[in-house]
Amino acid sequence: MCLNHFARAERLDVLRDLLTDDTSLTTHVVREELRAGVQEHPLLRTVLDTDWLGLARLDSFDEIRCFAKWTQRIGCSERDWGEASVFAAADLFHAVAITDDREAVAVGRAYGLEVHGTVWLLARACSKGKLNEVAAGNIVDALRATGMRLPCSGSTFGSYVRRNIGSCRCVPVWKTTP
Amino acid sequence: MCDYRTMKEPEEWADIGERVRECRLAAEMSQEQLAAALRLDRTMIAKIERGVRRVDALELAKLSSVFKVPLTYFLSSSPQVVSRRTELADDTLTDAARQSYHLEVALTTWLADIRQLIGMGRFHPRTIERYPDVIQDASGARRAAHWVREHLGLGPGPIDSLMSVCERLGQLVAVVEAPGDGASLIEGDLAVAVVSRRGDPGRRRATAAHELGHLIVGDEYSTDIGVHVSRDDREAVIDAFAAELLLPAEAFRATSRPGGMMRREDLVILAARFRTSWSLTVRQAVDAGAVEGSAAKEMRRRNPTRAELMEAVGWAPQPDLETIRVPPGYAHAVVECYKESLITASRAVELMRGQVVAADLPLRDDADIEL
Repeated sequence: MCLNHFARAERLDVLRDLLTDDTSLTTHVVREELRAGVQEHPLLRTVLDTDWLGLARLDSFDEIRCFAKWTQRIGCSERDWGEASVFAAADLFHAVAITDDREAVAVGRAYGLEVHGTVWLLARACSKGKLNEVAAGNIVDALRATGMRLPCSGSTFGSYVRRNIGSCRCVPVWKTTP
Repeated sequence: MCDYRTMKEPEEWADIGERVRECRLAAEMSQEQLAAALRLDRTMIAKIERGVRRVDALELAKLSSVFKVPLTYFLSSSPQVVSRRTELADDTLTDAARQSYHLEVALTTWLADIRQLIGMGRFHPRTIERYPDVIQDASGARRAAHWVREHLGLGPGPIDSLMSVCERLGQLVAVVEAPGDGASLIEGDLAVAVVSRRGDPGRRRATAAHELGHLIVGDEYSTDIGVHVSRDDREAVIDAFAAELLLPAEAFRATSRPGGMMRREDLVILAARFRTSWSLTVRQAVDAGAVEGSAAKEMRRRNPTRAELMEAVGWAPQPDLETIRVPPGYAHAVVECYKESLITASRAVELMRGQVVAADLPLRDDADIEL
């Protein structure tokens, strides 16, 4: 779900670099949401043009049942479809869901799903040596400038991570199981 | 891009297609109109309805949005009772059939939501209770209404919350936005009913009592799903139960004038206190011998105004089946699930069917959640 803000902050290439070791997917539902926003934010088109982001269409019967199951937890209205589709994909592919909606994170985790936010993603990159704390802080500020709600600012990124996340585990994001 | 997808689960897709077709007919939409709403070609809609083209998650979500039915509705099988109804067909579709279909959707959805909360381990509905004797006529139905009042210790006065009475007897009632009056069914160990929010409060209470009658009176009636507009013999028995439950004949005897018949203003007070519709009040008055037939005919022509009814109860608020949309036990379960983060606020509001908005929900401390 952070795709929107990485694109609008013109940092989609950074996100790609952070995820080079992982199989990354988004869902058809999220993709179409982004497409609908292109007129207001033309930079969103860059997400549609990426070749490193796989697509979970969720079109088999089991997949749409899983999607329906998550709408029963997240909500059935249009604003809930994207989150529900991401959780369904993570559920089906035993992957890690990335969202910055605190409530959705709590609900996903209540059902045993591994769910994290953008700050976790950046902290993980730091612990893997892909990013230093200053660079991560700059990304945080760039994302916040697009209106993204994050739990820390660029200058407090390091202390926030040490206080709340500790040393990051190296868990692949959107990595499908072998 | 080719939009045609190969089939692997033909039966399931055929079922989804049939539901799409029924929803479209009930919504009075042509295939062209639906295609335009989904930005698909009309031939795609035809294929979806025939079950020869898959739909993906987004298309299904859009269908649920267009038809205003939950996404799960397309995937769940109909309760057995519902599946016995007359099929919707293009050439025989009537308003009554459409209305009946909307009520069935509301009923099926209500049942699914209850089962979701039970599945989460936070809701434990009461066991269904039934009148122990066989009911064959209206007088037997009235005895059953007395049994309900006695069994639950309600006394002879007005029933404050019919929603709670139904819940205590094992029937879970929801007030829904669908047109019509109401519908009910029993599936396994669950008895559920829906009552349309449209119509005045007295009518809503009469409908809820009527649907409770289907449960209390017995199995043979519970299969009679649909809009209960037909006044055949069986429905008349159920109506006698509902009327006696809401406004017992004893209430007329307790308030009648010495040696005389009751006047319109007396009935207005009873209708306001017992929150019954005017037609039910007058009918019960005739049955109780408190009003003569000719006077009743005249009274039926003069429905009391809202001010008359409110004046009769000192302008006290009458919340049943208006602000209260779901049973108390169910509402508690929804809040528990919300507090434990098993559902979002958005979903909690949906499950409560308009009884609360997100701002009404308790504060949940998710500020400490590590992102």
